[in-house]
Amino acid sequence: MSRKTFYLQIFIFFFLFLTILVSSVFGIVNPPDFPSCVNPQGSVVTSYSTGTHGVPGVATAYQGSDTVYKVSNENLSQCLCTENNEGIQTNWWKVSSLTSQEIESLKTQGWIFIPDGSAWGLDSSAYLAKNSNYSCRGRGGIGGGEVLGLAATGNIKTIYALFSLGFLSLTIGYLLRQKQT
Amino acid sequence: MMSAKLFTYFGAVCLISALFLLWQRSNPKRLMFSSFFPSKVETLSLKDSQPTRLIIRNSNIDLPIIPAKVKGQNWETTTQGVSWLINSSLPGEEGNSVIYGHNWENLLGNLISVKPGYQIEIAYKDGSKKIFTVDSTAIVSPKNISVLKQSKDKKITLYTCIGLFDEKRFVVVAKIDKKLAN
Repeated sequence: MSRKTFYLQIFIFFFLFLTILVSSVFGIVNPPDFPSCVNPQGSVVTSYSTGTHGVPGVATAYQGSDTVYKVSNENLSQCLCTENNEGIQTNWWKVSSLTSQEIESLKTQGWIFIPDGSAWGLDSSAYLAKNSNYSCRGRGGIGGGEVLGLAATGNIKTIYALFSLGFLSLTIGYLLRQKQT
Repeated sequence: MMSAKLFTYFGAVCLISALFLLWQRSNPKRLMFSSFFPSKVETLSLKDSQPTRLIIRNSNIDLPIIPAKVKGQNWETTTQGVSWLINSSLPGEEGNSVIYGHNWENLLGNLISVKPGYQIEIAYKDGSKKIFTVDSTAIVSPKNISVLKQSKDKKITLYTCIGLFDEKRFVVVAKIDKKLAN
């Protein structure tokens, strides 16, 4: 191993170490857990079976049903089911006790800062909102949003293919090395 | 020299990945939800009412149902069909009945094709059958145990693994179709 490569590896190691250290010490707040809209929990705050509804951070207005659940004193879940069977879950987190640095950090994780919840029918307090998608049964009959899933990882064919490819590559690597020496 | 190294590294990565997948395939914690300890739900005598088969015609799924338990953090799994958590309610009875299985091609690999509105049939030991209609589907973290919590309606929650190295759970929630139940 050349000296240059050695120093490069040391540099990468320290960079990763510092990144993990800094992110674990500064500005990291763990968001609360929110129940999924597929099995909503908590008490119903408001519920509309039809109507036009908005979603924070999205300019589009959606037609469909909308139910808001109070998960705790600080948190609410909004389950919107559009007429096209597309579900949007919005998790609302009251963040009056968080510092601006913590809020900025959470914004990088996809949370949207809402300075005044009253504009959304909530308490007049600052909230962070985060959207996620699910599929639901609206008025659109069968169907719904596509699920982007990766192929099954436990497939035995994939495992055999990886073993074969691994052994083949190692053999070629060994033979090339023998040829060169 | 460079190409020899490249082949060696690539081969090593393939072998390590294969070994990891092999370990993961037989890992009893693979299908678990973290920190979920089901409370015992009162079910009727399982003698005749035990669910025996899960059928989703639209997704070409037709599998035997095997009763399973959670022991500590180990979730009993089967390679012969899907597992029905006996600590959850009986499918068709009041509450949330939890059914899960591997995402292998011959098991629930095709579950991700299930959409709201699809029908799920559950056959029972006594020859009866109940129909459920898919209400919602979602991808959740294994930490999100809310999907397994009991409810006051009659529903089944069916799930399998999804995502990079099976880090997520694909959940299908179906409610009993009163019109089609017999």
